[in-house]
Amino acid sequence: MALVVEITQPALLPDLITGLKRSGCVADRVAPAACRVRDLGTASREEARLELAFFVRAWQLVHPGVEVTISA
Amino acid sequence: MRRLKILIADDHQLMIHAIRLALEDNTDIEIVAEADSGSKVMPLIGQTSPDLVLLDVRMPGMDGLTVLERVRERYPKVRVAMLSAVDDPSVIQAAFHRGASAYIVKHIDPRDLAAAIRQAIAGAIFQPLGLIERAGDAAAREADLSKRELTILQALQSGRSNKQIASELFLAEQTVKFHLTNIYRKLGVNSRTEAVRYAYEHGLADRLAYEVA
Repeated sequence: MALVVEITQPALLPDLITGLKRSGCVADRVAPAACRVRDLGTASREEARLELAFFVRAWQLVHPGVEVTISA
Repeated sequence: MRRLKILIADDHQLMIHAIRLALEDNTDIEIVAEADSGSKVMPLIGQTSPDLVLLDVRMPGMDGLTVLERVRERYPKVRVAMLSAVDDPSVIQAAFHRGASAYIVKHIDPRDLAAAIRQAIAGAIFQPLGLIERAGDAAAREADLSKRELTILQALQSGRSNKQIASELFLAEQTVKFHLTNIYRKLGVNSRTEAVRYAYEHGLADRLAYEVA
């Protein structure tokens, strides 16, 4: 299962992708401000979305001002 | 200042990394160990003596509820807060019955995680949104609690001080103490924590102790 994360500051996408990869996910840039995330290791899509959302919200704490959208 | 020592147990690196990000600006909290399976938790507690274990429910090897039980048996002073994607009321209830100090659903805003940890260590008990139905009036009647006492009992759940409760309910602090004394007597308990636990176990609680879901 894959989820797409889109952010409002494209310059920060590499940092987000690095963080996701360090966390064991597969993350690939699919647009200037978006990446596709796979291999979250969760039991369901819902759990994947929940954990990815938690991670991204925590990441936003160190990158205030960036808005994020997660979609399937 | 003594830092609060936390052990994180989650089989997903994504969550461990996220928790680290969420806590990194909280200088009073130190992550002393990480476990990626349930079976690694007990040895790590022995090595690092954490104040609290932040424990996922679903983990390979040994599931979180089993780990919780073992931690409470062997290290009764170590608090355990469950952090989980599972919001099944029966699982949540099982966690509290096994001695969890908090049950935090992963919907939580990461900014609130540090506060939840501090309060779990301080001894407050948190329950997630939706676990308990609205206050059982019958249960309150059975305990012979007045409406005011029930309100104060519910305020206790959020970890509020007497002063805060007094302010919110427009009462004198002394009046809150008076009500608390009566609540303890009626419930047959000796402390705030015991009162909150009683409320939870007997269905007296109808509000969030801490909005974690």
